[in-house]
Amino acid sequence: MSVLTERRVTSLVLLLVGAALLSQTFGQAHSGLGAFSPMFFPRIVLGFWVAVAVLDIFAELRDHHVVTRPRLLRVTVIAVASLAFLVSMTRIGFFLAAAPFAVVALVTLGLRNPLSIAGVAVGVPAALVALFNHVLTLPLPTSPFAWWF
Amino acid sequence: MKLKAKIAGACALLLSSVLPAVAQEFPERPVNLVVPFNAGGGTDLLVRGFAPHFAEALGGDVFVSNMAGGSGTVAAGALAGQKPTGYQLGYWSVTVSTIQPQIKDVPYGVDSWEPICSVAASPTMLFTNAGNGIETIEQAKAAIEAEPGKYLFGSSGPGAMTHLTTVAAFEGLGVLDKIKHLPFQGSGPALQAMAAGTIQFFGDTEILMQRGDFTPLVIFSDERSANFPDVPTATEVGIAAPLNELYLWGGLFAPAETPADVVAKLSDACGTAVTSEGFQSFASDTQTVLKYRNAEEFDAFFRAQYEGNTAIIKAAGLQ
Amino acid sequence: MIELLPQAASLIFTIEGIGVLVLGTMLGIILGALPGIGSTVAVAMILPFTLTMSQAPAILLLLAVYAGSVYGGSLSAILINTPGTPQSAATCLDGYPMAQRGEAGLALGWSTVASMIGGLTSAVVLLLAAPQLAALALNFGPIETFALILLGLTCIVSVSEGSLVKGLLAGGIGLFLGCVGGDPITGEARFTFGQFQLISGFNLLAVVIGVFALSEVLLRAASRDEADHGLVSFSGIVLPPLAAWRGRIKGLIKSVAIGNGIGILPGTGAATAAFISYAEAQRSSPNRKNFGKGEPDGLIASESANNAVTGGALVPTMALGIPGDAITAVMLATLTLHGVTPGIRLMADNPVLIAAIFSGFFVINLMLLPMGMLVAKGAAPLLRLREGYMLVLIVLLCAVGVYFVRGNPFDLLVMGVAGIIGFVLRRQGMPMAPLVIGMVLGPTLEISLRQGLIITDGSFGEFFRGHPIAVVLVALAIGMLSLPLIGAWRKKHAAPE
Repeated sequence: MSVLTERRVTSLVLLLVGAALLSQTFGQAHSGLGAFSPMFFPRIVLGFWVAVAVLDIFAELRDHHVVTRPRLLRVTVIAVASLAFLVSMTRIGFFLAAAPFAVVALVTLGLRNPLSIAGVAVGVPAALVALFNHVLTLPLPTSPFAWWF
Repeated sequence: MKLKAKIAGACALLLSSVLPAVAQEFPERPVNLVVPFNAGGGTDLLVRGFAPHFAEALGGDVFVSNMAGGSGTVAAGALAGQKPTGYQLGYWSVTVSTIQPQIKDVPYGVDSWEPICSVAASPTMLFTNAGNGIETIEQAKAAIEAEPGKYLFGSSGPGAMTHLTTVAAFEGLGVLDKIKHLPFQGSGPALQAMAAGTIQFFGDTEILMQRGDFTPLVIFSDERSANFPDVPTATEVGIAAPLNELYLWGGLFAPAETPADVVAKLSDACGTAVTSEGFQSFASDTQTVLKYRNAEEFDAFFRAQYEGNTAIIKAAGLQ
Repeated sequence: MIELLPQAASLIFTIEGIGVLVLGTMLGIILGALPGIGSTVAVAMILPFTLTMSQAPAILLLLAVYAGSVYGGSLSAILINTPGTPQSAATCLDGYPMAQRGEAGLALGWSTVASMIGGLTSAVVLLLAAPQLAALALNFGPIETFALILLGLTCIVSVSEGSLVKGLLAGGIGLFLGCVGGDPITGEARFTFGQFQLISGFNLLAVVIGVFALSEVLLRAASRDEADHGLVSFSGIVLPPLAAWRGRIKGLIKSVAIGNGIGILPGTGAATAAFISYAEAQRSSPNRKNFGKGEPDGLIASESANNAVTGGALVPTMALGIPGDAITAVMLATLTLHGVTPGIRLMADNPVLIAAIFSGFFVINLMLLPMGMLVAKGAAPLLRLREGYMLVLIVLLCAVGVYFVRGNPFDLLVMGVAGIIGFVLRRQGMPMAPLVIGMVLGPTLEISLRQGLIITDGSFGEFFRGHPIAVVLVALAIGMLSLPLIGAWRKKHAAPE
């Protein structure tokens, strides 16, 4: 049994992030002193964060929780595909970003019927673009190739 | 049949968009007006009311989209980096175009734009709660000097026009260091605090002032208001330039280096739309004060404002 | 106001008026039920259509969509554990466990009736006492707001089922996320690390959708039990029998009162009301032991409170002409377009219009039940979709919803990253509701605290002097915090180890 379990690593990372942010609040020059400083409130909040994170680490070290192992490949593919879709949709347009994402995600999630995969991956984004851009004139991002999708 | 026609139309559109060099009249596709605030706000409704008249004058389609955040700077930052085709225009207010770039680290500045036309401009007013004994600006000054640190003025946020109006007034009168600033998150909470008496002074346009039970003290315009002929202008009460005139204005901007013929066409269409009967009646319904300037006039006005507002920003301690 | 009802009725019960009420409520429920699309986006989508309508129908359409979408949010919260808005986050806590148990229909029955009652009472309150309540709300200055928000934060303790430490940590993270961006008092950039996009901070909805909806998708993708069937079994709303209400009426009344009260105050909102109401129910309900495991009392508390806010928010809007939130601001702006000047004289100058708006609001809430049943019936087949399709649909709709909140590309990135971080934290057993509470309340807590300190010249000693309401609220907050701790301590020491 390893000392570095997933839960312990996460707790440690949270503590380190909180401490790093707290250290950020010192050193920089800001207008106002004490209660009038922009860092007044964040310092209280981050101090609280760090204090609770320390308690959390102790709790994690004391108890040993067994967590089920995730299906790492599956979830990584979905996470990366989602992120790629979200970042690219404002650059290459909603439709061009959504269709490939849907194909990748559906296949990864174990769907195999090519007809319904293609139907959902093309049909749903196309329907959304048609509805928002052309019926409601509340446009979703469009591609650089044509203004209408 | 209909579907076929649509497909044919779509193909034609596709072709025309891949071949931009084809000699065709601007606009060959819909023009997008970007509102830098959320849907449903005052600016959004003004632009939505303006869009159909602009479309008619332009002889093409016009649609409105919203991109909010950072007091309008997110949208302006995004548009500044776009290709200057004239198909994407922003409706920027005085704060988005001249104040925010001087107080925040934003990816645009005075030279990022090709001003198209100004649409609206209302002078701002300083006002106080009715029934608190202060009726004139002289009384306000005397009261503040008598009890330094007692009075509070509100704003809809640091750097907002509501903030700068009051700063201009009290800096101009020399009592800014004797009164405290209480910023709120938006005009709604600030006006509520006015009604409750938490704050005593607020600055905004005449329309907003009329909504509550408030006493106007001074107007930041070159002439007195027709509705409040007794309220003096800032110059009359001894507030010196450049603090004496403040307008909440807004107009259309295109990214810099937009072709001159496109700018001219947009500017003319804007003028036609502003003077159109439909938009005039929209403006009177919504109590909007219209002020059209063509591209050239607006460019000069915008640059003068950019310089002039530096003094107020300094006085407000925002730099 | 009451004597104007006949005149008001003639404004509502026209073909246009009834059509608007029916279609608007239905549309609102559907939009609200779509994961990722919340009230603000729903109202923004409907706004262009109101421009061509006459006064009363235009406002009624906005109101119908608003009330419908607040209720509709509970559908996705209960059925797929993805609240479309922060205000339904508390509904997930007990709604989803019930659905998992196979009681999805009944869970929706409880939430529908609770929503309707919450909305109806707030409509009555509006009709009877809007001006008086608005005057009362003016007593709420920055210091009182600070005390109320402090009380709201204590909810973190009660929604941290499982691990108090992890709940508190999530709350701290949420509070910090609310600090990022321009300082509310000086305007200086905080924690932006030179990123211009961060100057306006993290968008609340982008984070909420990320940590609830997207992380849920990832959790399911990571899960090893293969679900070939739909997510939960559901075939329509099942109304709870009257006898089942026994012992729950008192809690309902309390929740409705909390929702109405908080709705009236500016700058607090439906999410705060839902959480405070949930926490109070968890403290005082006879069934408090089952909270978080699918207890109807929890559902009743959050849903009746968040729907009561819709009416409460109209009080300052209509009586003072000051909008309570983004949505009521849209309504006021729409009134301006129709030649009505919002402001302190709004009610005095347009009594019939306002009476029509208030009574139309009552009708809208009556229709939540039939329309809700209709929409739920229509949505039932969607839930039988295979999980993969469902997950992809959720991601697509959430992206659309987050994009439309403010059209800001950066928000989409925030949603994606929040989803991945939310996934990691949820695997650790960290509850996400406290994070949302922290992020919702943090900015208001900070600005009210610092406003109060500006008024008192930075003196903490003077802070509460002359503010009895604030003192009572702070005392309540301390009580809420210490009671469960004392209880736990007693239990520990009573039982010999």
